[in-house]
Amino acid sequence: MNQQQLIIELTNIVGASGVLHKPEEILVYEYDASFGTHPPDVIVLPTTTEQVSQIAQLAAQHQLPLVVRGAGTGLSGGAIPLKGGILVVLTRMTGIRNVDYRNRRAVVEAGVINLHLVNKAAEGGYTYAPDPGSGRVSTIGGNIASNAGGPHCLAHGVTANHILGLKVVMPDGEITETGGPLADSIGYDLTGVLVGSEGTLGIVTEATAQLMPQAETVSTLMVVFKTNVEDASAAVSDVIAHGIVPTAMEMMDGMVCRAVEEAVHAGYPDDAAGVLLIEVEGLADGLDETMSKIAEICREHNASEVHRATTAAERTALWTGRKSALGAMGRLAPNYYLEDGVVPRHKLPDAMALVEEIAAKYDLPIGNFFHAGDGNIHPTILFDRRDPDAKHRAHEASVEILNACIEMGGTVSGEHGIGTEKQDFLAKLYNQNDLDAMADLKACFNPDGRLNPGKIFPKTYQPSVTIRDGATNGAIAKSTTKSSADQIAAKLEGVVGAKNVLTGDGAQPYAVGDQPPAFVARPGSVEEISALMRCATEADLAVSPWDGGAQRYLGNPLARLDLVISLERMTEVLEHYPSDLTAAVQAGCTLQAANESLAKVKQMLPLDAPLAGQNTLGGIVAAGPLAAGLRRLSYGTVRDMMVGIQMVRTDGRVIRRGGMVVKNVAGYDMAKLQYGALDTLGVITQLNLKLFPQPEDSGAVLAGFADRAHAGQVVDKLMTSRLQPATITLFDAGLAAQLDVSQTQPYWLFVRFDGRAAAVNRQIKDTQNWMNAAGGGEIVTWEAATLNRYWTTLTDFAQMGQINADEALLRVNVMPAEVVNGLGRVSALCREHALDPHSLVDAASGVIWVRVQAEAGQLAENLAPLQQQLLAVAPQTVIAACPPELKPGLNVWGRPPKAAALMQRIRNRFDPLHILNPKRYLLEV
Amino acid sequence: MMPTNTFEGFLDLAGVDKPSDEIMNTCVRCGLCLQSCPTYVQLEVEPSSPRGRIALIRGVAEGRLPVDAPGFLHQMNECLGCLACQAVCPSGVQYGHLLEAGRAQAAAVREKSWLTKLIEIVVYQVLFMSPFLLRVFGRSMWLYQRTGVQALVRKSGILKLMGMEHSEKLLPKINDRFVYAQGQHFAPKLFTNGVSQAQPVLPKRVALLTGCAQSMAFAHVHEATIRTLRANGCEVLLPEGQQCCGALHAHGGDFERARELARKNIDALEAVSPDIVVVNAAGCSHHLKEYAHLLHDDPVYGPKAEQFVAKGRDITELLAELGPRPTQNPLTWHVTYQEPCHLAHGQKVTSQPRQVLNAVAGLKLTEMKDSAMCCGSAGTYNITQPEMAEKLLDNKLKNAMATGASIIATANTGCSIQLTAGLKDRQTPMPVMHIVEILDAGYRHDGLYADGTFDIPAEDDTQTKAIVAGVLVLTLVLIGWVLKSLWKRK
Repeated sequence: MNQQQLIIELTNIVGASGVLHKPEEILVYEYDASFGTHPPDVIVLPTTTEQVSQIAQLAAQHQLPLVVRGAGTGLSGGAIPLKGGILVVLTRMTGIRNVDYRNRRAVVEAGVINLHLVNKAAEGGYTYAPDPGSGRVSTIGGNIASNAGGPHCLAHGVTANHILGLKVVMPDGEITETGGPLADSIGYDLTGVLVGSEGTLGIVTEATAQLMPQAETVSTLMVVFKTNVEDASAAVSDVIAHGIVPTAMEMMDGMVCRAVEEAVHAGYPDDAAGVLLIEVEGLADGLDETMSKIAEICREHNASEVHRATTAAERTALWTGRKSALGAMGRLAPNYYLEDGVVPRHKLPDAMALVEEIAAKYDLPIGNFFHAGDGNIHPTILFDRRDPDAKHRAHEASVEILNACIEMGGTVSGEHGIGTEKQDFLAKLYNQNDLDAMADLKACFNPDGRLNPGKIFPKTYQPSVTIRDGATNGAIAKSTTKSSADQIAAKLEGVVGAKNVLTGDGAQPYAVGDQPPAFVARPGSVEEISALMRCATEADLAVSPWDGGAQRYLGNPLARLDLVISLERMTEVLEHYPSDLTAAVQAGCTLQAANESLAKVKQMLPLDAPLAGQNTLGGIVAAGPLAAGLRRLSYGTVRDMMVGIQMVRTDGRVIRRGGMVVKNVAGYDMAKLQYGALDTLGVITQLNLKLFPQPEDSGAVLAGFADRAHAGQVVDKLMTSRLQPATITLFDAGLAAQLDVSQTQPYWLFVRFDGRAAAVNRQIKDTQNWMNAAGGGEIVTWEAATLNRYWTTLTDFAQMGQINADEALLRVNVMPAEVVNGLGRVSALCREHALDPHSLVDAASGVIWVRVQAEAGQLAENLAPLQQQLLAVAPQTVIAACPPELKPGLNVWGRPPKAAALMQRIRNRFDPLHILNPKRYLLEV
Repeated sequence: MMPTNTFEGFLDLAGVDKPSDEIMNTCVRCGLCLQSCPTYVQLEVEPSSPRGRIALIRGVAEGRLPVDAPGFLHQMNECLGCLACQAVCPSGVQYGHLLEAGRAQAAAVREKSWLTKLIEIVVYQVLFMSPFLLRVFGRSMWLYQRTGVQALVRKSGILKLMGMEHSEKLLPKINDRFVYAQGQHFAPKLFTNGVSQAQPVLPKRVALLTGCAQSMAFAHVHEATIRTLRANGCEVLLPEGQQCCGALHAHGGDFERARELARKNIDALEAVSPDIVVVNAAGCSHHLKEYAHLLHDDPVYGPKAEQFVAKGRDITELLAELGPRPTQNPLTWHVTYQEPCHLAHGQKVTSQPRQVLNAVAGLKLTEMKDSAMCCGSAGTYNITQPEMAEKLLDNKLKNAMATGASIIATANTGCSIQLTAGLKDRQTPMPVMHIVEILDAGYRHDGLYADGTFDIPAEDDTQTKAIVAGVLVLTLVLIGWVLKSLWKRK
């Protein structure tokens, strides 16, 4: 197809004003904010998803490369059309479709400027948390592509933690949707995979973003260190080691301070070695004490001045200064290499010292301004590209810095992405297996690689042969002859030793649903798991990784079950860095054991999954949303805490992604792919997790209500206030009995707060008042001790490890604002079907758990029609647990997700023989 | 001859500057300028952004684009030169200087009709180089407006025929009384700023740049400037021999004439040894501060210009420095402030105008959305790029009206003309006032001027000469039109 024809066809799609092709137009789209340049053949500016789809179809038809661009502020070359082709610029897709404050959601098109969304949210008293330095010009689509962070992601997390759903155009033009407005999506977490995929998996045209209430108060400290920056780094670690997690901890060295001061007059000192900006958000109560404590810690680390911003203007000036740091480097030299490395927080002083050394070695000034709290460093090497020697030295210095980040256990990109600038480092960060897994994932989305070609993967990377074939990823062929049971047992024993293979009665307790496996293997190492998976592939054994039985009644009945792999011998906390708030834990470790170990240093994993004493961390990840805890409003789910993963693929290949750092945009997020995947893509062997300091205090307040509507008033009040409840839970009299509160009230509202004692008390008081005003009765408050005593009663309500013959557990997900009405509707429907409902509602997330009890023998005939009716009102109605013999007639996973076909491709790619949990997951009904 | 398609980078034209490599190199393509750019926000395409325009200039400099590439020429015109990008640029790219040089290059190669050339010669090389001829022209326009000819012409449809309907609308109302520099001297009147009687303000010797159009269409602003400065303890001088500031020439790429005017103004204004040189049109006060850059290659005037620039102030800046004396009697006006680009971005003067407005007792100031986004006036932009100018004007007026204010305050001639014309089009009777006029109104409301000592003496007889000449010119023009239309009818 010639250029002229292409232009005509594109013009037919978007109109003449949306197609740019003249030399002077091509010239200004050959760059982004990185170093690279390459001209596109033609530029097109669509305004709707449908237009993007048509453009993609056209590109597919003519086999043209397709590259997406937002504002072009990316620093890794992600938007550069390396192979020419069509450059799709989404800056005209600027619709903010729906801002729903009560549900804390906004639906925005990809071209919406980050700051415009923030401003829109602010109109209702809310905010959108990710705040990259480019936020006032960069687009949400671009932020999604590079999983943008920003200063405030220390407490709030990165873009991936704030995007619920995406509308995506696939390279062939198909429009699909991942996730959605609900808190959770059933199926593979494609949203989590697409965020940070740098435009190589699909074209994101629309996103559902999560908003959060603006903080009641914000307090900002400017801390000046006169002697050296290492002091500042040490102070950062120490603040966190004291259990304080500020919203932001930003560092600038002396050189940067001076440049910034010249640019924007922010009020920074001109004689500092380093300056820390520390911001704490939240409730006013007890904030002063926290700020004083931080100041005290900083002074212990030789801070010469601690200044608290007293006015909003002063605070804004300090932040404007920080956000101008990058551009201000342009005042010091015509060019810079901006690095984006991440090191474990406790290695920051080493990293700073090293950067200083490298600057001296290569005789180039290096400025440092970075997200110290995350260990995300941005050494900025200054040079003049017209001096070839300086350019060369700058490059060498940058390589040395990033190599050091890798050696220190960090990564080469925290928030800017890999693009074209850092591809070759991935070869150092990952081995062939790791990259193959990512390539497999890419092949499911972007099979011919036309979408943003030449990005992320190292230039030298060659996929393993099997991947090129596409037919199977198995490096090992399935054996043609069927092995006998004895042969299999012998093989398994050869791997894990005779005493670690169980059969017969010994295997009985490992039943999934009611299906006992023929064999149970209890490996002691990753190598053994790898060998077991090779055996399983060879002998075509159906495998189910063991989760301690905590979710054994979840999912469809297995088509077959030969081998359960139990990680009960792999339960160690392998590494734990208290000052980094990270730990590496073997996947067989139970939640309770992990928390017991972490409690020694007053840290925790607030996952609140049911049956914590038996539920393994691997199992919790596999169950995903179904094991999401009650305090997710404050802490998120395990999805938000996974920073690294190790897993074994069906053919035994061990893969890793991530490390011990909290920010990581280096290749696809394989950990998120495992979230809620029910072990259908591999066996999780190790998890690296972000931890939380135990709160200084916790407390709860409960009130009984005669009707749902009045309880709902308090829920609305809480959800639209600036209080920070850890959970807002609604339950009925059934649970009330177990919690020793009056059963005369039909509904109970339970609100828990974690945090500083003063803040907890004040929030309990406010909530009590609202409960009173809404007619709540028998108001009870629980102090921490009482709360802890009853907490597991609440968290275990939704357990899937045991089920009575006439009982089922349903999970209905609705929008948070509809949860109170939804509860009424669900209860009424249950009663209509002669099922007695008991509910527990996570009102903040819109999750209604209902445990139904039938008269003896009545469950079978009533459950299916009930679910049919529930699906009509709430498509995401999952039968989380029920007697297994009823399942064949049921659609336990609810409606299939929109991207089911894509999920199936991923499943087939990672488990071509379907040996992992066959037919148990939603894809193979 | 017109040099075309050289592909060799920028032209080496006598007297025409080349965009500086140094400045181009400070752009690191971070893109932080994008959302500040009015044309980018409207069109959302990279060529219409500051970063894109720098890339185009760089493209020509590196020989990748011909200097007469239509896209390059278009962008040199489409840019408003509002400098909003320069104000937010963290790297400190002197975008304005790049643009002016780029425009000079574009001007050298752009194909122009003989009429455009003639108009440009008349306007830039004749009228704006000679204060006297400009006054004659001004008086003719005054006659045109006052004798009813304007109404007649507007009704006749002749403007449409000549394609001048739009430009004619932008003709501001010419003052009955001109205020131009004839060496006037006004003594200070009040020596305290009214806040603290104990601390008298030292009298400052302030020279006023009366400018070109300003002295004929905004003479009332000059009068208000003189009165308010005297009320704030300043001695005000209008030194003879001063000229148009030359901003129009520089922005249009005619550096030779811009330098000529700068030298004349430095000489004329420095002749009275002022402490301060004040300008009450933001575009001109900005350009005055650019004299040092403009003359940096001039061994004689370069150093002079540096000293001169140090004395330059916008009137809002000077008043804020002085205090200013607050008014007493509440003036219950509801005002919104439209920030002139060359004040807010070009000079980064943003708090001072508000400080002056806040000195007016009883005044309510409601900020409009995007107050510092260009209104589309931008020198002659509203004539050369009417479509974009109209879009920006429309946004600006919508934002202004959304405040519920009844007066738009601003501090620049171009903005005033643009906003007034826009409001008239929309039949919205909303006055547009210079900030200094509002302060002046406050003082008058206080009775400060009641004793007549602040009165500004009437113009001298040169004015009459100008009027006579004006009548003649107007008659000639009219005859010309009549003949032309008769001829057309045949």
